[in-house]
Amino acid sequence: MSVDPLIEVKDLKVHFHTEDGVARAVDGVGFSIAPERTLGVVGESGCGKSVTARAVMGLIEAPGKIEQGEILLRHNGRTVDIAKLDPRGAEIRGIRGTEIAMIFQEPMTSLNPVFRIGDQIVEAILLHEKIGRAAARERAVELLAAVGIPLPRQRFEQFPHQLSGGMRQRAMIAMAMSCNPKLLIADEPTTALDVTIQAQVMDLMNALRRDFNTAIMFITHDLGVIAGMADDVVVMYLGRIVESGPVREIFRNPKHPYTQGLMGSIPSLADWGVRRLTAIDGVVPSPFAVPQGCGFAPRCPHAMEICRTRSPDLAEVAPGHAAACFLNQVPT
Amino acid sequence: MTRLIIGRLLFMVPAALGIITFLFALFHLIPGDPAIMLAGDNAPRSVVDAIREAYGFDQPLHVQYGRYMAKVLQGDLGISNYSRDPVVNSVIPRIINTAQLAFLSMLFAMIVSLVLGCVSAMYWNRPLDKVVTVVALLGICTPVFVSGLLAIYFFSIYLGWLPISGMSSWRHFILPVITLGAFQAAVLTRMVRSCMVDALGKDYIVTARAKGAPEFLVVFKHALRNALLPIVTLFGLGLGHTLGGSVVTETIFNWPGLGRLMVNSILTRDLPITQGAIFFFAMIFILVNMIVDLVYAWVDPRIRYD
Amino acid sequence: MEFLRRYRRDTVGLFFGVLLLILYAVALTAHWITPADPMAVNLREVFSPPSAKHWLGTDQFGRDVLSRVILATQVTVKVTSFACLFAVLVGVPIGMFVGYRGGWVEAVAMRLTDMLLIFPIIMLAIVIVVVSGPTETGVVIALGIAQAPTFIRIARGVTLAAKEELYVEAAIAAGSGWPHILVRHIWPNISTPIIVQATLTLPVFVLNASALSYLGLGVQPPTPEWGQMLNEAKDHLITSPYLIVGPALALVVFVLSANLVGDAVQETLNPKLKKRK
Repeated sequence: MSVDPLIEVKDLKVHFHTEDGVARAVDGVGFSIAPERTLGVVGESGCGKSVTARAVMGLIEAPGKIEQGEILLRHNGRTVDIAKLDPRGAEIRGIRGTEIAMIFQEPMTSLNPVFRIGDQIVEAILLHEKIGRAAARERAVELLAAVGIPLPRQRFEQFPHQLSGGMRQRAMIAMAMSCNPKLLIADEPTTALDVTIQAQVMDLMNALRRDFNTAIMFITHDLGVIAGMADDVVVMYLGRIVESGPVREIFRNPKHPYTQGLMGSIPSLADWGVRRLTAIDGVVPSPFAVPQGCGFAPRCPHAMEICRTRSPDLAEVAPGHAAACFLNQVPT
Repeated sequence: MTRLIIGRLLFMVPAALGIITFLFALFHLIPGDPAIMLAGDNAPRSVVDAIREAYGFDQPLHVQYGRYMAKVLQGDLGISNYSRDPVVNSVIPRIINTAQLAFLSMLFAMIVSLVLGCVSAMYWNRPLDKVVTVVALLGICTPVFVSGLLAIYFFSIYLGWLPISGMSSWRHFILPVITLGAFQAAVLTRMVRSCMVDALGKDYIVTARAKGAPEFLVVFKHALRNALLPIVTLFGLGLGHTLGGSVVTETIFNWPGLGRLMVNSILTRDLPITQGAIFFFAMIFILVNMIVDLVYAWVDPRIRYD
Repeated sequence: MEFLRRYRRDTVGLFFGVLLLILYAVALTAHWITPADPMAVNLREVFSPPSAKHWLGTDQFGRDVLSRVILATQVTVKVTSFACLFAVLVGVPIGMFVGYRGGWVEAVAMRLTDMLLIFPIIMLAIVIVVVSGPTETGVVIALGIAQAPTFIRIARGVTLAAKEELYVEAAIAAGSGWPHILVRHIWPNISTPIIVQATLTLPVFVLNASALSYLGLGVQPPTPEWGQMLNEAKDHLITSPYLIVGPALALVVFVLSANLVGDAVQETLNPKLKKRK
């Protein structure tokens, strides 16, 4: 692909300095997203995917700190490094909402309970565009209709507690799309919803991606969700990327034992009654005490001697497909 | 919402009856013969008996209770033992004086605590926050009769700027209002700060920042509007405590308010005045509490629109 | 002992804890450590400013202020300790019984408790003092009853939670009587929150005891009390301002130490709270 990436993250490290020590939440992550593409970011909770998303939004605040790396975004015809911006400064605020917007896991708590749904969307519009309040209201009602909220004019006047979880997430999406962002970050947007509602929200996001020409960074712990959404996939473990590539390639030919483990835990109709779901043994180590060598080694069924002493780098295993595992590379 | 208001108003009735009953009980719990108390310790037997009969102390308790209740419901709280004026006449003007002091002090405390609390929360765990926290701590550890005396000494005696006592001009208001207000401000600042720290940690704050909202909007619109829910309750309690603190403040600055009237009446054993003062204080507290409940319901859309 | 080990890590709490212990030691040994007789009137030495002989000066009767401040420490400690104990002894059994009993008894009792809680402590204390009398015992009763609602609420809350525990349900099912259940199964859960609450309310007791005696409704002269000493000092503020130094400082330091120790005890017992602060 020769298109310039919309956003490019290079060797990002985000550490949290707490009383109990330093947590290396994100420890050298790099990826890029091209316009109108969807990147799926997969991993168990605590693997650093949400922190990465917040870093891209410039939302890392003390005790968190971006220690290293660049987050390059094309903005107003020049390249801005979000990692270098003051998280409370004017420049990042001009990017949030207009270039990059975000929706969150908990629609129940992500909307402000004391303001009307409509006013919260109007606020997002007026923060970035010089239009009148009446025009902003019209736009907000249209957006509510566009995300499939019935009776948008009535819903506009309501408070978050009067809407169901699915409806609230739709309202969040309407708010995020209000200024036509080029990139939408969705941080586990369906995790807190019922399965049927999940499917509806996924369909909505797919439709919006076409209508608004938005790139999406879709964060989830569920590979099954990724399959229907993403063009490319990044698999994260303990603050690092362990495998990345096009979605078909990853599903057909997972190279990292961790990805293989995640696959093993997706139920599939074809496997009905034939194969037992496998789970990955053990738990994610604490980010305060990252093991030496490969972070996954203590849980890896194929762990070798070298895995306990050295940490493998990402290396290409097929065109566009990379994995960080010594099984696929000759140690140097 | 309407039902809530009606319910709260209706609650005033049993509350008032309860307080009257309590005051009646109080009158009879006090050790000693009420007739002797009224007549004076050295009064001759015949006078005491005459008073006992006139006041109905010789009747059975339930009859006395009925009479007392009936009188209070007609607005008759008795006659002062000393001035022989109806209690209501001496209490009502005092209520207004106390209300002025308490209201202005509370206004001072609310403004100071909102500003300091928000600033402290914005600069959470940084030097400015720590300074505010320490000052507030010292404030809650200094009772008004210590800060009041220090203020009188410094501003009235040493500098000679402000009057020591009374309430005849606006300059008389400054020391009492600030002394009482500062103590409340210290108490409330800590609470406003913790409400704001709490609100600033919520998910919708991240949403607001993710929209690109500037920090002052995040703090003063999104966080403060939510923190107001608990803060309204705190301010309501604070108003109650300000009224309580006014008793001491009035004594320090010789403020002709309800609190000083009550304390003096206790010291001089003028029981009808004591009863009257307690009755009005109690009704004021219940009224304030009711208003706070209603304001809370009005501020919280989850209650207002259900 | 685990408690002491963890408490030691909190330097502020440790410093003011030691200070509070010193104040209590002063209170306990007051009769032996006063430099002069706190009651001895000496009309030849009235209103003498601070000097080597009288560090804090003498009052309108020529009594040594430092000695009176020391004796007042004892009075305050005595009154507030007994008041606190009284509040616990009144509040906790009521709260436990009401929480365990449930039903209309609980509803009525809690309604009344809520009503009492809307009145400031000082108002309740003043009203009760009218009946119990302005003596040491009267103040103990007044402050104790005024603070009891807080302890009723806490004891009831813990009892309600404990009642849901399986082992308590099992004991009820096995036919244990309620005194046995309250004492054996529910009391152990209650002690920690009650101790925390008692330390947190100690400064409130001290402030209100002094306020009462400032108003003349507390401990009566000639027994010294900080609030009452300040009230007397007010009349001589123009001529002898030094009279307020001793009692004011003692009162503020005591309340400050008690406050910080209360916070530290609470944080030591519930470390979770610390994170938010």
